[in-house]
Amino acid sequence: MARRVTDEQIAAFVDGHLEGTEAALVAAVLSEDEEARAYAAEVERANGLLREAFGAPMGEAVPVGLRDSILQSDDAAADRKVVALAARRPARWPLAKMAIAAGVAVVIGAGASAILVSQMTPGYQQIVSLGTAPADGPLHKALERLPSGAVSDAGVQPMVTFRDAAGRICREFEAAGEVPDHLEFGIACRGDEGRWDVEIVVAAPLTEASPQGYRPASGPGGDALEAMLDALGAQPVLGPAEESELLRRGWR
Amino acid sequence: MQQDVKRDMVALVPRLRRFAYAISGSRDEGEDLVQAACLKALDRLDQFQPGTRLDSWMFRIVQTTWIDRSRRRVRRAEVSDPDGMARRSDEGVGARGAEDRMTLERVRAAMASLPEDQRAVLALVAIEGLSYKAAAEALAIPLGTVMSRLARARSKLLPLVKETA
Repeated sequence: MARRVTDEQIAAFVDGHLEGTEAALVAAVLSEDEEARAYAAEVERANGLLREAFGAPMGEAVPVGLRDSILQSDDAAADRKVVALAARRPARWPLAKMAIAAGVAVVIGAGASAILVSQMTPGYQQIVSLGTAPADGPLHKALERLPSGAVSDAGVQPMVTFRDAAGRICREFEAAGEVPDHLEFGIACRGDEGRWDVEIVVAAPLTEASPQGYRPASGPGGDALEAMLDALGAQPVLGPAEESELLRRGWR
Repeated sequence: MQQDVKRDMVALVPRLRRFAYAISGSRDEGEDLVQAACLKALDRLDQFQPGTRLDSWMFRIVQTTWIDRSRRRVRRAEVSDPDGMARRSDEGVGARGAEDRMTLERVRAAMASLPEDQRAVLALVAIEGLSYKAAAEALAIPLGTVMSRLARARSKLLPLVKETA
């Protein structure tokens, strides 16, 4: 049966988007056309169900931590010339929150960078430290030379390569130490002088729950990593072709 | 002045979380998204134009944060996460009975089955009650695109929801 108005117009009427003569036209059609009325009811019901289905957060108080971090934040500073610096600042709060949420023992770090050490074996020796990776060390060598997925003799594996908001090349990596069943994973970014600066390291025991071993992309450590990726303004991961071209040219 | 904006931002948090939940399909992810988005917004508060809608501006930041994350995740999944992204289901908080919970669960599943861009438009219009114009501003897309995405989203979602009636 031909109708004088479209489904879209009826939906727009329900959404409160129509005005004037168009609204009047749809209202007139609705009053005389049962099929049109049924469609309008369907749209209205779906809107209501959607509000209800995702409505749980509306009944919850704003967490004190989030409220305070909004209200007590510094007013936008004038000296935000370095994009990366500005982008880094927010990282501290989520990282701290993640650490608490996970019952993670220690958060060490200043400014942008942080290391999370989660309930590690006593006497655990960190493999990777924050800051510039020594140019003759295993981390620098692996990040500088290996494609993603390859593992160095020293047990360092670059995972993915991306650019941050400032255009720096950054790589996620994993490093296996001498302590069995423990793994460190993190992000390092390459500076102009060819140095790799470690922005975050998460040390975590491998969990038995997963037959494939620990998954850095999930869990509290993964959340911290995710927060750091947001803070860095990480761009989508580079494809293999693009990465190998950059590798060939020494990341330039 | 900025203090007023910050207070408004705090007041917006529940709605931002609802939106983030709707587009990500996960309460945890949604909370995390909102937190990241608020910190981003504070960092570029000088870019917010007083007199324009703070909610549209914030919805946009939540949405771009989500898009960035999903893009990264897709690529990362290829590299290191064969399990893909785990989506935790909600317990149906607020539902009155088991049947209602099932209905709401189905609505969430139907929403999750929509393409990313349609989900965002539908969430802003149907859930957040934004006008088509405000939704277009929030997503930085033309008004016509809002309408066509909305039409596509509804043509897929309505039959899925109807079964439960």
